[in-house]
This record gives sequence, structure tokens and C-alpha cells, in this order.
Amino acid sequence: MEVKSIWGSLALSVLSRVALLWYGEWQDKTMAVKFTDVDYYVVSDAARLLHQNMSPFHRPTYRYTPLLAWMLQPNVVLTQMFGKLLFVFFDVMTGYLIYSLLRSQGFNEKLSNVCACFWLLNPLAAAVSCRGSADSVMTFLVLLTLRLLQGRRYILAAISYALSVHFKIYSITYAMPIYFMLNEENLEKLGRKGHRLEQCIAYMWPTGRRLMFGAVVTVILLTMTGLCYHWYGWAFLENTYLYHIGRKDIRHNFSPYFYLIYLTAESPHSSILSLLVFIPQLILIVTFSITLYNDLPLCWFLITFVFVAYNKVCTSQYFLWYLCLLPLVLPNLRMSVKKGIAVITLWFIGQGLWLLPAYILEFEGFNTFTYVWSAGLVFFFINVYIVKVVLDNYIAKPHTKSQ
Amino acid sequence: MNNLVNFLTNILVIIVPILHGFEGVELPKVERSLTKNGFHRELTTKITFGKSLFKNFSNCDVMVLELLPPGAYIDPFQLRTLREFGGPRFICDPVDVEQPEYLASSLNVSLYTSALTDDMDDLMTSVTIPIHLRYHRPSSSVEYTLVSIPKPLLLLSCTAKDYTGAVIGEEDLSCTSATLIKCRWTMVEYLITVANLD
Repeated sequence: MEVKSIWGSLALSVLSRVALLWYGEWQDKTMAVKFTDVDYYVVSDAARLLHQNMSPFHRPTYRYTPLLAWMLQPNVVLTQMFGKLLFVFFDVMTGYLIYSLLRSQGFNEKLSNVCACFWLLNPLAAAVSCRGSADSVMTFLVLLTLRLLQGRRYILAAISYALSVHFKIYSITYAMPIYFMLNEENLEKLGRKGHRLEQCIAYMWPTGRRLMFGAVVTVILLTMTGLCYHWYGWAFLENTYLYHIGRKDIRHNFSPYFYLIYLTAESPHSSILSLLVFIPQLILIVTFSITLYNDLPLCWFLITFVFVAYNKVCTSQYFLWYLCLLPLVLPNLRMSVKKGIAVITLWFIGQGLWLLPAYILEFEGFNTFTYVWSAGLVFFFINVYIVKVVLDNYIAKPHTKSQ
Repeated sequence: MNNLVNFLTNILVIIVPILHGFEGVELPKVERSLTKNGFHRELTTKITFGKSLFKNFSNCDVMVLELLPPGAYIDPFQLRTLREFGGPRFICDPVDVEQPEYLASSLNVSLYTSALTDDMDDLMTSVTIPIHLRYHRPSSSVEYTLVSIPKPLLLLSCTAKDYTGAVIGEEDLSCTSATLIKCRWTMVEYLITVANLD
């Protein structure tokens, strides 16, 4: 089935999500095993607490910004369904932004549409928003920032970026390439031939545009953090940010570090260890920022991809963070469809290999910790290989100025 | 409360078979079973009273008081959503569902079972709760570890006027799961088919 225009794709994606929401309602009503994500109940409970003028952080395991509980007020007063509809809206808008970004880069309608469908008709994306995960808010904000930067609307981009960092801290990793990109013209002029010092200055010098962007982001972030801290105190910082930064989950997950962290959870060196594992992430993020800042979609995709793959904790929910950027990279990948499918299959096999021992551990109670960890390592190497494939087959676009 | 429960559980385990097992006094029977494997189990407790134990059972609500060891927990939020699928009403302490066993503490759970129903010569009720297990400290010598769930306490909301079976004592506990108002509950003796669940 071929969908001719982006409107057709959007309509189809909305229809499929509505059907999925409907199915979810049915499953929740009839089966004890819920379709709805556990966190959706957490967020709804937090929204209810907020409605009763209490702190959303009184709900254990609420690890989001209070903004989310605030956004979901209609869950309390209108219908429990509201949040899901909102997430589906952001989910579909994410697909539209993919289309819009590709169009503005000069790709033709058909190709842009096909790539947008990679998100819009992706069962993973649909399932996550329909089950009530807030991640689509994040994918929307990230792509919106990208679109605004591409359209050179820096103040709006700064606002959108600040909101995304406030919403989920991981997008702070995009700060460095944005900073470099904001002095793109001078960096381009110097090229690779310029003097070291000149280059260094072009990378670091706080130009007017950089200062303005930085100021807007800082003011918004400080205001929002300040307000939330004023209202909810330490519990806000603890749950919204510190938990995610210092998160040390000893329970099994995709991370190559999971077994190490489980075994050393009580070791006196565990905090040094958890700082050490940041180093590979940091090196890679800095490298990609310096070398690829002039192609933000690719740069952000790779940064997010390695950030997730090299993270201390890695669950399938995190995959969405880079999946929304992948369609922007696809049109520049010069490889056969066969190879493309092979790479994607490999990615799924990596997860399958992990899921089997993880299921046996979790639900059958056999001690498969080392298998789970080994499968995590295999998946890690598959991810590293995918980074290599992307870098090897990426044809940098001739630098097109967008409107 | 915590100490009391611990203390009473110990007494139950040791004394019941000696004092009453041999005297042939009729006791309620409790059957425990654990289904599913892995970190997520289902604990079913089936309680059967001989009809002769009651003069009048319409006043008698049944409560099962579980003391879960640090290695196991219930998720109160999950249990609440199971209400509409026949899950029990309950009261329990706040639970941190993310902690490993070595940082967690044991957990008191009061389960208010559904009303007693007629079953031939007996009156019975049963209660099923999902139990989750925590990650334990890694060990280089053993691959598996044992989590023992001790015998629960069995309580009735009626007094000696209505219940004629053997009684251990009385305790003031919440009347229902939805109130802080205390009622006098009668702790009764019983025979159990599986003493400790591992």
C-alpha cells in the first residue's frame, strides 16, 4: 500500500493509533495484564495529587517534571484518556516534523513522505504513545528545536530546547553541537585549513547569537527549575533530575554495564565506577559535536544513539529517543535496501537474543544473569557496528541553505 | 506491631502442632499455594472453617495478616488495580518497589478477604495476591537463594459469642481497608497444609 501524500500518511497514522487506543481500553477492562504502561498510572496519580494541591512527588516513582502532571490535569477532571490522546498528538506531530525537516532540506515530497512513514507507521512509536508513555512529548520538542534551528529562528529554538531539557535531561547532550552550529558561517569559512588558534576561537568564541541563545535557554531553565524547586523543594530535584543522572539500576537491562553495576552495587568504589562509565559517552559526544555540528540531524542521531548504547541503564523506551532522528538520516545513507534491512534485522536480533534469557530470568526464575549480560554485550557491539555502518555510508549533503 | 507479629508467628509455628494437633480440637484449615515462577508469583491462601465453629458467621469478616520478608513485596498500586478483577481489599505499609533485598525491610500486609461462602459442610474464603521478589546481594558461592514467606495470622472480626474455635488473642486493627477506625479482631488458631512457602 502506498500513501500518496503526507496528509494520507498522517490520517493513516491517526487511524491506526485510535484503533490501538481502543484495543488498549478493551484489554485494560477485560484482562488483569494491562495494556497501559505502569508509568501512565503513576503520572495520572501525580496529576490527581496536583489537583488536590499536593506535590506530585508524593506518588512514589514519579520521576518527571511537575509540568507533566500539570499537563495531564484533564485526566482528573475530564477523562483518564486525555493524556494518551495528548501523547498521540505529539507522536503524530513528530512524524509531521520529520516530513517538514526533510522537505526544508530539499528532499522531494515522496522521499520525505516515505521517511516520515518510518515514524508515523512504526508500531514501536505508536505502541509507546498509545500505552501512555510521555516520550513523544520529548521527540516532538527535540524535532521542533531542530526545525526551528534549521529555519534560523533562534529565539524560538532556544525556548523549545530549554523546554526539552527541562522535560528530560538527556537532551542536554545536544548543547555542544548547537553551540558550535550557531557560529557555522565562521567555522565553515575557516574550513579545516585555518590556523589551530583561529579554529579554536571560532569553536569557542561567544558570538552574539550564541550569547542570545544561551541566555534564553538559561533564563527559561532557571525559571522553571526555580519555580518547581520553590513549590516542591528537594523532592523535585531528586526525582526529576538527580535520579536520572545518578541512576544505578541493578535490575537487568540492555546496558553493557548492568552486570558490573549489580556486582559492585555495594562496593565503596561504586560511585567512582559510575562516573568512569560516563567517560566513553563524553568522548564520543564531544567528538561527534566537533566533527558533525554542521549536520545536526546526523550529529544528534549519533549522539543519542551512542548515549543510549553506552549508558549505565538502557531500556527499550530509550530507543525512541534516536528512532525519531533516524528518518532524517535515512535519505543520506547510500546503501542497498538489502543491506539496510540486514542492519535493521541485526538490531532486532540483538534485542531478541537479550529478551530470551531476560524472560527466563524474570518469569521462570532461572539464573541467567551471565547470559543476559552477554546478550547485552552482543547488542552493544551490534550498536557499535551500526554506528560504523552509518558513518561509512553517509553521504554528506551538499550544504543547502534552508529557508 | 512489627515485633508482635514476629513474636506471634514464632509461637504459632512451634506451639500449634503440640497443643492442639493432638487434642483433636477442630481448627480452621488454611491452604497455601504459590503459582508462577521467577520474580513474579501469585500467593493464594484458602481458608476453610467447619460450620460448627460458628454460632453465627454473618458478623464475621476474615483478615489474613501477612508478614513478607525483605526479599519479597507487594506493589500496592498494582494490587489496587486488581480490585475490579476480584483482588482483595488491603492495607499495607509504604513500599519501595525498587530496593534490593539487602536494603529493604519486611512488610506487613492486612488482607481483607471476601465474605465467607457456603461450601458443603464448610465455610470458605480465599485470597490471591501477586508477590514480587527483590534482587538479592550477588553471591559467588550459590546460584539461588531462598525467600521464605512465614505463616500468616488469621483474624476474625467477631467475638467469642459468634466463634467457638480456639483463640490466641485479640488485637485492635482497622475495621475495613478504607478506614483508620479500629475494631477488635480475634486472632484464631488454625492448621496449615504448607507451613512455610519458599
